[in-house]
Amino acid sequence: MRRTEGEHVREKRTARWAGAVRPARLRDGPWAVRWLVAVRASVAAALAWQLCSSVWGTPRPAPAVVAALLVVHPTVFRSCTAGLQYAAGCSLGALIALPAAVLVGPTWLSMSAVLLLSLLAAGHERLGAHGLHVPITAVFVLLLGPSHAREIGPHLLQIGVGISVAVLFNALLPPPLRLRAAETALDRLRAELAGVLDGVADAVRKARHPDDVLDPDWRDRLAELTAQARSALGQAHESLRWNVRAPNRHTVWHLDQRVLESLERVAHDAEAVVAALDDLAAQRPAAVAPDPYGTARTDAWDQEFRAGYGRLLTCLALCVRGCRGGSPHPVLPATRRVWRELAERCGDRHDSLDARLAECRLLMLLDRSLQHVAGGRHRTARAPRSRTATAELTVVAGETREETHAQADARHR
Amino acid sequence: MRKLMPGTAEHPAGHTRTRCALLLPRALFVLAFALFVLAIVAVSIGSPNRLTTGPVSEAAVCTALAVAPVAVVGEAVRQRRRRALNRADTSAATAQRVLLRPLPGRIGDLRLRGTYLPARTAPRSGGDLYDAVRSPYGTRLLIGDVRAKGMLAVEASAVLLRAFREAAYEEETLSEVARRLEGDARRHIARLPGAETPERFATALLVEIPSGPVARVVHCGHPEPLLVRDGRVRVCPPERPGAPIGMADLVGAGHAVHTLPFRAGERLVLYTDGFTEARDAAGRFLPFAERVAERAAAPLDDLADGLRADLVRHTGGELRDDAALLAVERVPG
Repeated sequence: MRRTEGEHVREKRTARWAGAVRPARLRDGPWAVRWLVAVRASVAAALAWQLCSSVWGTPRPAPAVVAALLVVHPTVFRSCTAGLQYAAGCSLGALIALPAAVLVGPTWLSMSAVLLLSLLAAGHERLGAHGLHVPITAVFVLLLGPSHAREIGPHLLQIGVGISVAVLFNALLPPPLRLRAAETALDRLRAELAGVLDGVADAVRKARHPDDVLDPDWRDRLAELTAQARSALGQAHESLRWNVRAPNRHTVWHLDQRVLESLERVAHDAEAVVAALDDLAAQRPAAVAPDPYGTARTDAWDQEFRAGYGRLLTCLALCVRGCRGGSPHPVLPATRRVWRELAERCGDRHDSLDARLAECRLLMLLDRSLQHVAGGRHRTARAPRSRTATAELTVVAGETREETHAQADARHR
Repeated sequence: MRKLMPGTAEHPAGHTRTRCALLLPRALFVLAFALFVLAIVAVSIGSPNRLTTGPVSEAAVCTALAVAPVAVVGEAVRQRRRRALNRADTSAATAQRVLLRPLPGRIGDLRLRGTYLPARTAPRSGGDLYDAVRSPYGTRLLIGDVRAKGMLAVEASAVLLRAFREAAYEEETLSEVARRLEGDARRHIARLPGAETPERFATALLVEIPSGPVARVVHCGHPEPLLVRDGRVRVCPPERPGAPIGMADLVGAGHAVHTLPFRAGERLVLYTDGFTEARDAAGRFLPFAERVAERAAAPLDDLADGLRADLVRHTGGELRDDAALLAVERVPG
């Protein structure tokens, strides 16, 4: 039964809403982190406020609240680092300004000197974004001066309490490990990249341009998914650091940075393959645009090459789906064998120079991608022929170079 | 009945210990956090005696009373789901064990020993298979790994084993046996229900050992066999690797026969990726070929048992994938 356009749109909308409220998506999405940080920061700030006001009788312990809010982060590691940086920034600022405040007081000269020193200290990479608190604290200490010395101590103490409460809060109630989000992001990237390769394979077989088969924005989507995966992977590894839950989860090998790097390289190669296909189409326009009477001059070799190359791209897509660290996909050794056979046939051809160059470029790009997804754990016996496939390609490239030189010589003569 | 070693994957005490080890830190964290919050509330109120008075304390008590049952129910649901998954996994592992009939200790001048270890930590049991058949063309061996999980993998394994047992008797060449397996896989495995595995295929290694001093091998995307000769281990990678069973049409690569010298006193070790992909707590792979070399001089039974023990020791009993091993030795005379 054929569906109407309205039904299709309604179905898509329903699917979008269903996808939006899916628990896994809620759990792994950016809003989960925002909620987590917001709730934790609010509770930590409230606890810091309560502690300062009840123990020291401070009516409005704002520094403690601000410190607690700034120190709560999605991971234990970042929370502890931020706490240390914040404390170090405030202490440094106070130390820089205190001698000037006691000896000279707030004059333009002392202010300039304190600002210069504090800004230099703020630039230290160890302080990170919290380096900003060095000049701010220094200016406050200098302006308040010795007359308000009684206020500076409690102020710094409140900051210390806020930092301690926030760090303890994050350490005792450790944030979740962000592993599932990274797994999902990598899975999405794998699926998208494999889909792109399948689409390119389809286009190669049908002698069409890949952009006609794929979505027009496939490159942007791949780049976006790669960036998401990189961010999610970074968060996952950071969430493991100093997290007491981490020892229970020691099976995170599939979240290897090298897996992402391999996928990124294959994505770049896929773009290069599409560009190289343009070159091939330029050399054999008849195969791409058959004549309107349906009696296109069919090039048997071109059809064979396209069928073989499309098959190899499909196998590469399978390897991309199985690229999870460890051993490569079991289809890889056979794919390399098929690649070698195609390369040998390509090397035996005596076609036009430019067409052969385009084919060789396509094969070399595919060879590189297969190496990326192999992950360094692939082993095959030496081919029975003394001339390996890569050597074949090198020889072809050498022959084409010689032919180019010969043609240039002839033109020169 | 074979005695189980302490700390092996099959030991039930290890399971209880793991559960306790998982629950204890969680309970300690909850306790520590509750004490932390209570301490702050007590300090802020001024006296621990006034904990149950005042609006803040009332709110805290109400929240605790509301959250505690929800947390308990949530944990109970999680435990129940985990138990159900474990039960399903155990069933699949048991079915797979039943499917792998015990190998005869000896066929002609060959001695055989097989071992199978189901996965422990993930629902991945089922799928590894091996068998040996004495045919008119020599002894034929199969070791394979079906890419599926649970009962689906068991069903696919049954399909492949049945096809192998028939084809090994009937077909003259090993490549024809592989072709028959390919056909059966295309007809049956690809149509099995279940959507958790998008790719349906099996890796396999077919070995034919005739009476002469050779062994013929057909690779179908499976890890290479190890040849043990004079105490040395040699990996035998294929010259023309074949596609996994069920993918030959897709790849366009037929199955080629690879001949190895296999004389009296030599051994062939066939294995699945459960052995080579096993990692320890630090993420290091099991150096399988080295372990085989260390045990090369041991009797065949000790070799298989030792490799099995090495695997369990290396992973700490937490096998994430099935592992199967088939060791063959040509006896002199």
